[in-house]
Amino acid sequence: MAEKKKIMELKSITKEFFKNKALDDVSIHVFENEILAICGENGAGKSTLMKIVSGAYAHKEYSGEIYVDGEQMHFEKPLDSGMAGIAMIYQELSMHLDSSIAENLFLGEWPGRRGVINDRKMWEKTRECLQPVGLEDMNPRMVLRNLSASQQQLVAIARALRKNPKILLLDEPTSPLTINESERLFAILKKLKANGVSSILITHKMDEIFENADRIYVIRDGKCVAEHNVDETDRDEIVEEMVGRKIDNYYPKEEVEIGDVVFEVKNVTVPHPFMKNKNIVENVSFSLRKGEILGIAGLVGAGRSELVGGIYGKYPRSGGQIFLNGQEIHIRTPEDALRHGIALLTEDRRADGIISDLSIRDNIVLASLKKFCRHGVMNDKSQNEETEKIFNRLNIKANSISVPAFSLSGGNQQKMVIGKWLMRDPSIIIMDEPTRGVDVGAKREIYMIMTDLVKRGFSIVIISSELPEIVSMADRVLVISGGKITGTLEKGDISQKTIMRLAV
Amino acid sequence: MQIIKKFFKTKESAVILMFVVLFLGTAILQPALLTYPQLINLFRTISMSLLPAMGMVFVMTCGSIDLSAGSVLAFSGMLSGYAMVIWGWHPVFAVLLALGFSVVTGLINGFLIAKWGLTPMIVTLGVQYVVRGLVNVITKGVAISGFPESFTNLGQGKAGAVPNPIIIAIVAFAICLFVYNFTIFGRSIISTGGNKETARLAGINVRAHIVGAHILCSVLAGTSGILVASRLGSAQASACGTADMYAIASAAVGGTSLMGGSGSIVGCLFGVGIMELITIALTLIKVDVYWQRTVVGVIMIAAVFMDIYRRNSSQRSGS
Repeated sequence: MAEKKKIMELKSITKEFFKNKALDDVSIHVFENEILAICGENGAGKSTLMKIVSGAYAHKEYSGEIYVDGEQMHFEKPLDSGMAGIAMIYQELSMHLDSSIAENLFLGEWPGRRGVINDRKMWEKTRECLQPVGLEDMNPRMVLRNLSASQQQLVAIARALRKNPKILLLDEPTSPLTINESERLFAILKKLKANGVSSILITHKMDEIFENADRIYVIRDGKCVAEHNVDETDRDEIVEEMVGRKIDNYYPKEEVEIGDVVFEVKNVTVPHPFMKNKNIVENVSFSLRKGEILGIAGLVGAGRSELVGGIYGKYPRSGGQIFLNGQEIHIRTPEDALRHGIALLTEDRRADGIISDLSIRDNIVLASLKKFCRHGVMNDKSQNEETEKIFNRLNIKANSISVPAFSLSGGNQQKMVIGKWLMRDPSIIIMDEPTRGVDVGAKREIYMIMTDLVKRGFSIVIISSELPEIVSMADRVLVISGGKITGTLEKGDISQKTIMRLAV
Repeated sequence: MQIIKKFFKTKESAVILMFVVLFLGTAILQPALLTYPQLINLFRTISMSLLPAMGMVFVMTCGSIDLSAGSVLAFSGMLSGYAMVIWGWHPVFAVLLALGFSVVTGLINGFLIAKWGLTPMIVTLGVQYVVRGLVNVITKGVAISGFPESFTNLGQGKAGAVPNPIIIAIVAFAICLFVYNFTIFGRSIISTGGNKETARLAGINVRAHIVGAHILCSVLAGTSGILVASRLGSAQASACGTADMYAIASAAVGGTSLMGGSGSIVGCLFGVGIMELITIALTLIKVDVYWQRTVVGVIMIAAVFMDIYRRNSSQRSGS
């Protein structure tokens, strides 16, 4: 291969937070026309690295040098890196949901004269900008909130592309996307690559890396531990380098004896939150047996979260019956569900799973306050003891149970939320995307917790967009599409192919 | 050393330190501060302002706010006075009537906010106007006085060497401190303010707790109104016009977040302490009275700034 041109180079970047080194002497470079993947566990330092490249940290806050096109850069603020041709797409959508597509695209740089915005011109330009991401048919005046998560993500990408960057940074870009949409995104990235735009992709998903990237850096504990060309390595090697140890059995599924039906729902219907006279879940019925892990698969937006949210009382239900051990129960609020021993691990832990200012202990006891009190007065000692047990059992990595939740990494936050439900001691746990935004090591621990739970006689419903997860962990899979069940797969028939066939 | 380190990690450290520095500074400049009448005066004014400020801590912690506290305070004092003087009620019943009215106001505030999802600031601002209007309607702007002695004793009397308001404030402080930190009610309010949906999904009755916080706040404001009326011996329509803002300021200086989810009753005590101490200190060192508000404002911003600084540095070291 001919010598490629280095478009960007980072030399021995070190960034410290007080005494912790988030990045330790990291040197990487980006060639022209390539898709570079950076992988590592959560908390390995990937996001910190991206913040340095994107100028979110000023150059005084870290040591090391950044060169773009051979020229040394001193970024003071994100605008500077933008000027140098670097565009960043953040993991969390940083969009104004109540503004229109056009306003978001031109955020802060609305075209106009003397402070008066020229709307017509903005809308025209918006159509041009939306073309590369395949959204040219959208009305630029549409309010972003009414777009699906993936469309919002595409608008964010269009915004980044608007300034013709040389380097595109994408932090977990596909986490809100469905498989088809991810494929479209990567088709866009490949097209950009041909046009001379390099992409830096941060992701956990091995499939994406091996299908799309050209080169990989692996970061672990703030150090760059490996560099590979994609065609010279394989999945197992990367995973091993990411966690720093060998993982023999990625999905620790064990056969557990499956008992009688403990939980059944009939004809659950959940109205659409925004559209009148439309149901997002329609007449869904299923049953769950003791010791069973029931998978619910389907594309994002198929109504999976709304189904379980409707059962749990998170969303209002317009119809349906729920039976526990053959007896009909009435669930109108989450309180009712919990009283009957049903817990819901929600999809978006930041929105409704954790209270980030509270300590680990306060988060874990949150759903079980009554267990620790007499006449409304909390018993501090028993709270600490019980929390300590769960803290150790789930192997949450933190200095103590009194540190605030925001200081934990994603995986440990997720374990903490699981701990909250275990403290309540339910018999049925519904887990909506339990491993989203969780690193490889913690993922496996979550699977082990699931296995351990069913062994103890719990029943689990798991919703996941990661098909390998469902295929490996579930005993039975329901596939949902357009708010309806399109098929049930028994143990022998579960494969990614059979699921996808029913899901689309 | 360990204890000092631990102290600096608490969220109250900044405001306590500030209070101590202010106190010592004033005492050095003007040793008269350390005399018995001055100290008692300081503690009495703190007592009067502490009640509504603690109520505000609860309301702000659950992510709401109560701008009607000042009006409730005035109405409660006026209503108890009116019942005693015009209707000739026994003081006990008059006080109960005033407190009952406070409960109703809190209930209305909380209900409109929690059940119908109206914006707290607008709802309570509306209630502020309504209640203040009612005060004017009933009194026609004339102060009520001539209370029975058993009533004025409440605010003017002493138990030994300690004035009654201080004792009442100490009791209320102990109760609030306990409720905020050691009960399901307190924990639920903190959780509700931290993340409403998380709290709801964890089976906490979020609405009931928001209503509860508003009732508690109104009752504390109402109690304070009765104390003020009793101490002054008269109830005025224009009494305590800015008491709600003052309470919000003291709570904020004491480390209670306006975003909800975190607060401190101890911090609130010192927050009120700082506000009152400045007023007294400025009088003692003979600064023009008209400067007082300006200085209070500056100190307030400085205190909140210190709190943000502390919080940011602890967040960074945490991640």
